[in-house]
Amino acid sequence: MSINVNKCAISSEIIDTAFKQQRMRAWKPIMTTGSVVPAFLIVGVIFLPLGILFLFTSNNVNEVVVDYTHCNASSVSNSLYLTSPGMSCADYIQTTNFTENCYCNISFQLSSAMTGKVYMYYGLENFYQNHRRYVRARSDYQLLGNPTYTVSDCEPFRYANGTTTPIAPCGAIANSLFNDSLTLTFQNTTGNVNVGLIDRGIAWSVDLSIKYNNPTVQTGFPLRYGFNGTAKPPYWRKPVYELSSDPNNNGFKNEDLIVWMRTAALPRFRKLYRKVNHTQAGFVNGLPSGNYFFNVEYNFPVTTFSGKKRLILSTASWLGGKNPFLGIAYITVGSMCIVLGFLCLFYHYQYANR
Amino acid sequence: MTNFIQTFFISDPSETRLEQFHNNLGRRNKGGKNNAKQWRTVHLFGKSRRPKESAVVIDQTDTTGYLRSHSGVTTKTILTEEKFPDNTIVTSRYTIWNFIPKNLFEQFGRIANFYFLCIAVVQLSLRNSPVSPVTSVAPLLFVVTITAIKQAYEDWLRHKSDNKVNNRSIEVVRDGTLKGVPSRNVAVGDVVRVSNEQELPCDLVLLSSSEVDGSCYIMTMNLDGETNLKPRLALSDTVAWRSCEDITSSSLDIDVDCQLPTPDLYKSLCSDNLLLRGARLRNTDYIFGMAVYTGVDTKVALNQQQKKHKFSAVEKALNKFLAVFMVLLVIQVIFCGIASTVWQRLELPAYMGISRATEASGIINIFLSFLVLFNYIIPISLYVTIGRFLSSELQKFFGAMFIGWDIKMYDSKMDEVAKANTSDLNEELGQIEYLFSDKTGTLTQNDMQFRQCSIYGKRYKEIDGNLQLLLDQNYESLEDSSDSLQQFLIALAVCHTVKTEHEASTDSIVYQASSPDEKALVEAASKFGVSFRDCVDNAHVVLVHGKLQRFKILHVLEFDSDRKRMSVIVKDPSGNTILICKGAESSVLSRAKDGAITHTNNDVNYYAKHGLRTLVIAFRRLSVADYEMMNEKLHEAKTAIGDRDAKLASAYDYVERDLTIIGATAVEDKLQECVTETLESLREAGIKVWVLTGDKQETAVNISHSCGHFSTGMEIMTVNANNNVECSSLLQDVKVKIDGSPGGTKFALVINGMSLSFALSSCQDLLLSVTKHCEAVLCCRMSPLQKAKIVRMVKENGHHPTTLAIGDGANDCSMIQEAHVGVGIMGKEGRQATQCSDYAIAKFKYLKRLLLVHGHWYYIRIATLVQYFFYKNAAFITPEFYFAFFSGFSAQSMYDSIFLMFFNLAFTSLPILIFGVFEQDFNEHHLLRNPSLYKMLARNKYMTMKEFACWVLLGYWHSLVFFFGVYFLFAEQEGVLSADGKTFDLWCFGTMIYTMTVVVTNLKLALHTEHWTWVNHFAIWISILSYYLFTLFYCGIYWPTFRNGSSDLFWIFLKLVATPAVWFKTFLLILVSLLPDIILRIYSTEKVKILNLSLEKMARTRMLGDRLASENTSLNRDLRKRNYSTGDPRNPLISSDNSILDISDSHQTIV
Repeated sequence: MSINVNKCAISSEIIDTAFKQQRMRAWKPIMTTGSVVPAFLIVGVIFLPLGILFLFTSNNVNEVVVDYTHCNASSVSNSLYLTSPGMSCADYIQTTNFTENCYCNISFQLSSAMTGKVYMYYGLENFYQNHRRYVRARSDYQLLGNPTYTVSDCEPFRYANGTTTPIAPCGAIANSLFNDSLTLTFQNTTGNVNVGLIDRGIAWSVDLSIKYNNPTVQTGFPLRYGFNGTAKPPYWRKPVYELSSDPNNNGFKNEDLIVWMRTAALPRFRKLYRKVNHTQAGFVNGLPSGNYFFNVEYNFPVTTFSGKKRLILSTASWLGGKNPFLGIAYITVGSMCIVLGFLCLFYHYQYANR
Repeated sequence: MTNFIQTFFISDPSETRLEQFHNNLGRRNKGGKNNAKQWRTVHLFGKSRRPKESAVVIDQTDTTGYLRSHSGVTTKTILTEEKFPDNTIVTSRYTIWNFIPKNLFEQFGRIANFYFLCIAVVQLSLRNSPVSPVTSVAPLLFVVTITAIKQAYEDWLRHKSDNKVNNRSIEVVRDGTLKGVPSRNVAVGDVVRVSNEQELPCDLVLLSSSEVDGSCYIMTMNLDGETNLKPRLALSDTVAWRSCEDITSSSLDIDVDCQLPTPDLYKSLCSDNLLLRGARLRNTDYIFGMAVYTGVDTKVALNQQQKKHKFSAVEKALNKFLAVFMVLLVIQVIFCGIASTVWQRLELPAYMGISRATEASGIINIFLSFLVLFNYIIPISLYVTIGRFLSSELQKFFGAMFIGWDIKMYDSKMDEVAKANTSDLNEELGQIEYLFSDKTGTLTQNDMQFRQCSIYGKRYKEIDGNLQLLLDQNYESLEDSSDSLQQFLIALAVCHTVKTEHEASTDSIVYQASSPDEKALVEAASKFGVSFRDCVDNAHVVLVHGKLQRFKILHVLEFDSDRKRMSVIVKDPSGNTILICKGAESSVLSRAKDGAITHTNNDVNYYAKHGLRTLVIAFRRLSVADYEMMNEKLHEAKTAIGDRDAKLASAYDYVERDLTIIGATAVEDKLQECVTETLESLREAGIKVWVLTGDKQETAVNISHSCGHFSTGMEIMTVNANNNVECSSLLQDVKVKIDGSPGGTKFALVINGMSLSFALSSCQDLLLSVTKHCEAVLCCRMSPLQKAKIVRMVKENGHHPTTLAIGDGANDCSMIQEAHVGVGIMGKEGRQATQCSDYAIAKFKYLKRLLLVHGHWYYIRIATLVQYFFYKNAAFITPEFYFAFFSGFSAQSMYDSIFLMFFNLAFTSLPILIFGVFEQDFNEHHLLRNPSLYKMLARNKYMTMKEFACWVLLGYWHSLVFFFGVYFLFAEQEGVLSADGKTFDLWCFGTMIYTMTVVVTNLKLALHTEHWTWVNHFAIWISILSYYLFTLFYCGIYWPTFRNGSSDLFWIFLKLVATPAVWFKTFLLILVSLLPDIILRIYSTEKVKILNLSLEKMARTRMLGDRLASENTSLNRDLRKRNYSTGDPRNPLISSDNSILDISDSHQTIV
C-alpha cells in the first residue's frame, strides 16, 4: 500500500519554445545620440529642399482677392428702394427684403498676367457650414434622385410652410445656397471683353456621377415633372429644376448646388465658382495683365450674420492654392533636424563616447 | 470555539446531562445572534425512531469513543423534524430561465459596463446626437453578448459536471439492503457505504469500517492539498455495524446533534469521526457512514467562495488617472456647453434654421451632446469593452501564463512549475519593497536531519549513521549510558503521531507525519535501533533492538502552537503508565521538576546557537491514582459541550507538569538552494527582507547568518523586552545608535514576538523608524497572526510600500493573504500556503526570477499599457474639443462615427496588446545580473502623476499638432488642396486628422517598443495598413444607397490619398508631433547607457571584491580543514562548529 499521489506529469507540459520562454528573436533598436545623427541629418537634408520647393510652388500661385461684402450698387431692379445714391447692395437687398436684384461692379488691376489655369472662387467668412445642425440638414437619399424623400434632420426646411409638401432639396444647407451671379470682364484697349467662364467640372466628379441624381422623367418631358409634388426651398427664388438653363447642369445635378453641398471644414472658406475658359482667344495662357471688373448680381446676404464675401481669382499649383506655410514649416523642421543632428553629433563625440 | 458535532445525543436519561446540555445550548443561544439556532439534529435514516431503548453519547474528538447505555427511559425532549437540502451540488450559476436576466443584471452591475450603458442611453435619447448611437451600442452589445456566450458555455460545462457528480451511483442502505442511488438523492440520515479509493459523496459520520477497530484512512488533497493519509475512527458504539444487516437489525437509534453548517474547514478536518465530501477513502476496504451534511451544507460547498480581491498599485493609480480624466471631461463638457449657449445667444445665424435653445431640456441636450462626443477620452476600453478583452485581459492572461511556462522556474526534482493563481497582481511583482519570508521550509528545506542529542547532560552526535557519545576525554562505547539512551530513543519512538506505510515491495516502513521534525526523530530512533513499527489496536508497536514491545496509547495530547508541545500517555510493556512529552524548550523546561534541567538547557542553547532546531524530551511516571484523575479530567474536557478548548487546555495543563527531563534533540534544517544568492540579489534590488519565524531566537539568528540574511559587517541589534516601557526604551537606544553611527554602517534588527507585540501596541512609529534604517530584520517566536500584523503595519504606514510575503506552511497563510502579493512555496507542510497564495513556486530561489524578470517585465508592460491608453485617447479626442471653437460649439464631430468606434477597437488595439505581451526593456540575463535595475521601478515609478502628466501632455501636444497643423493647411488654402482647384470639405479635414492620429499613436508605441519581435512588427504595421485599407473600402462605397446610410465619408479618403499636399502635410506633422518623443527617447537611452556604465563599474569592483573574498574563504577553509583533521576531536565544540561552517560553505559554492 503506497500513497502515490496521482499527479499528472507537469514536465510534459513544459515546452521549451521561444515564445513560451519569452526568448523570441528580437530587434533592439537603440536610439543613442550616435545612432540618430544620420537619421536627423537625412531628414533635414530631405526636408530643406522640399520646403524650398513648396515655397517656390506657393509663390508661383497668383491670387486676386476682392472683398465685395459692402460693394456699392451700380444698378438695381427697382430704384424705389434706393434710398441714397451710394447705397451698398447689402443694405439694398435687405431693404427690399431680398426680393429685388442689386448689381455691383468691382474693378481691379492685374499688374502681371496670371498664367496657367485660372479658377474663380467665392469666399465666405463667418459662415458656419460645419455647425452640427447645419451639417446634418440634408437628405442624401433625396439627392440620389428621390425628391420627395426627406429626413427629420432637414427640419425646419423639410416641408413647405404649413404644408406637407416636401422641399427639394430639403435642409438648411441647400436652402442657404450661394446665389450671387458673377461675371468677369476684361477692359481691353479695344473695349470690354467678357471672360468666358465654365460652370462645368467644378464639383467632385464622384459627386456628380454617384451622389447626385435627378429623378427619372420620361424622355422628352421636362425635368420639372420629376419634381412634381415638391416645393422649392424658402430662400430660393427659383425651383431646383430651373437652376440652370443647361439641361445637363440642372436639378440635383447642378454643380453649383453640388459644390455648395460639400460642407466646408471651417467658417472661413472658399468654393469653386467657375473656371476661366482658356480656349477663348486672348486667355489661352491665363489672364493677361490689365484692368478687369467683376459684375455681381448681389443676392446672398452675409451682413445679417456679420459675414463677409470675397471674390477670388487664383491659379493652382500641384499643391493647391497659395500657401507659404507648408514650405516654411518644411524649412523650419528641416533646419531643426539638422541642428539636432549636429547637437547629437557634438554630444556623442564630446560626452557619450568617453 | 464550538465543535463540529456537539454531541451524539440519544434519549439520554441522565437528567444532569440533559440539563447541562440544555444549559449549554441556552448559553450558546444567548451568545448567538437573535437566539439563532446553532445546532441541528440528524436522525438515523432521516426519521426519529424515538422512543427507543438505548442512548449513546459520543464525542468525536475522543479517539477511543465511548458509550453509555441506558435502557427503558425515554426523553421528553421533542426535536422537530427538520428539512435538509438534498445532496445536489450546484456549481452552475444559471438556469435556462434565469440566464438572460441574471446575466445581464450581473454584467451591468459592473460599474464600467453601467457607465457605458448610460452613455448609450443618453446617446439614444438625444434628439440630435453628434455621433451615431450605434458607436456606443454596438461595442456594448458585442461585449455583453460575447461575455454572455462565454459565461453560458462555462455554465454549461458546470452543469455537465454537476450532473455527472449528482448522478454518480452511491451505495445507500435502503429498506434493509444496499441500493445504488444517484448521489443527489443521498439524504441526511442515510447510511452510505463507500469503498476504497472512492470519493466521499457527502459529509459523513463514520459508523464503521472494514477494519475491526473501525478505523479508516482518508486523503484530503481536494480539500487542503495535503497528501498524507489521515486516520479516522468510527464511533465505538457502531463499530460492530459492519454489514447492512448489522445496521438494520440493530436496535440502536442515533440522533446526531451537530452545529449548523459552517465553512470552518480546518477545524472539521481534525474531527476524528467526520469524513468530508471531496476526501477520498484510502487503505480501507469500505466504510459505513451516516450522512450529516448534504449538498450545499457540506464543508466543501460552503468553502467554495471566492478569495478576496487584491488590488494592485497599478490598478489604484489607474483609478486616479481616470479621476483626472473624468475631471477633464467634465470641465470640457461644461466649458463647451456654456460656450455653446453663449454662441447661440450671440451669433446663431438665420440660415441654420434653428432657434436657440431656451428651455432647460434644450440646454441639457447641448451638455449631453458634448458628453457623448467627448466621453471617448475616458479609456473605458481599459475597463470594459472589447478593448479590455483584447488588451487587458489577454495581456493579463499571457502574463500569468508566462510564469507557468517558464522553464527556468520549473523544478525537475519536484516536477513543479510556478503557478499564478491570479493574473491581477502580475505587475505588483515588479513593485516589491518589503519581503516577508518565513524561515522553515522557505529559506530552509524543511528536510529535517537528526544531528545531535543530549541525554541527561551527555551530548551525542550522529557520526556515520551511529550515535556517538561526545566525551571530554575520548569517544567511548555506548554501553555506559545505554539505559538512558534507550529510554531516550523509546521516548522518541513512542511519543508522536506518525503513521506508518508499509512498502509492499521492499518491506520497509515509510513514516507519514504532518511535522517533519517528528518524522526525523522517529526515523532517527529507528536508525539507532528503536524502530517504531506500527500502530495496532491503539498501541504503538516498537522494535527495541530486535524485541517487539507494545506501548498501549491511553491518550494523545496533540500538538498545538499555544502549548508548543505534545504528549502521549502510554502503558509500557511492564504495565507502568507513563506520560511522555516533547516540545519547545521554553514550554517543557518550565514544567520540569526533575532530571537534567540545567544541562539540557545549556545544551539546547548550544544547539540553537549552531542553527539546529531543538526539542526537549521529558517524561512523567503516573501512579494509578494519578492516571485515574487525569483520565477523568481529560474525558470531561473532551466531552464538554461549551468552552471545550479552554477546558482541554486546563486539562492538558494539569497533565503536563512535574516532568522529568531526559534530554533534548537537535535537528538540522538544511538551507534551500541558492538562498544566499537570492537574498543578496533581492537586497541589491532594493527589497528589504524581513524574516519572520516561529523559531527560537538563537536558531533564527544562526540561520540568518548562514543564509546570508545577515551579512558580515552588519551590526546586529537585539530587542528582547518584557514590557511596553522596556520595549520602547530598547528601541529608543537602537535608534540613537543608528542615528549616531557613521553613514554606510549596515544594521540588522532582531526582535522577538513578545517585544514585537509590545512595540506594535505602544511604540509602532518608533519601531517603523528603526526598521526603516535596518538592512535586515529578523522576527522570531512569531505566531501566525503576528506575522500578518507585522505585514499590515509595514504596508499601512509610511508611503504604503508594496509587500510580498512568502511561506510554505499553514501558519504563513494569514501573512500571505495580508501582503500585497502572497507567494506560496510548494513545500512539505501541505498545500495550504500555495492555495491561499497568489503565486506558487517550488523553491525560494525562483523568487528572484519571479520578481526581477517577470515582475520587472510585467510591470513595465502594464504601466506602459495603462499610460498609453490614456495618452492615445487624449491625443485622439482632444482635436474634437479644438474643433468646437471653429464650429460654433455645436458638438459637431470631425470624425465619422465608425472611426470613433474603431479607434480603440481596431486601429490601435493590437500593437499595445502585443507590446503588453512581448516587451522587454532589458533581457533576462541583464536583469538577473543587475538586480538594482529593479529599483528603477520602485514606488510605481512608471505610474506616478509626473509620468502620467508626461504621457498626457505629449498626447495633448500630438492633438495640437494634428489639429492645428491641418487647420493651417485648410485655413491658408481655404480647402483648395489640389491642382484641379476643387475644394476639400469638413470630412476631409476630420479624416486627415484622424489618419494622423492612428498613424502617430501607433508610431508612438513603436518608439516605446524596445523589443521588436516579428509579432510587434506585424502588429504595428498591420494596424496602420489595415486602417488605410479599411478606410479606402469604407469610403469607396456609397452607403446611402441603403437609404439611411451616411454619405459623409464617401470618396473622402480616396481624394485624400490622391492629393500630394495631404501626404506632405502628413509626413511633416507626424515628424513634428513625434519630435519631442524622439528627443525624450534619446535622452532616456543616454541615461540608461550611463546607468549601465555605472553598473558595469559596480560589477567590476564587486567581482574584484568577490575574488578577494573567495581567496579569503578558501584560505579559511583550508585552515579549518586542517584544524578539523588535526584538531582536538575531544572538543566537540570545534568539530560541530566546523560542520556548521562547512554547510554554509557548501551552499556558497553551489551559488
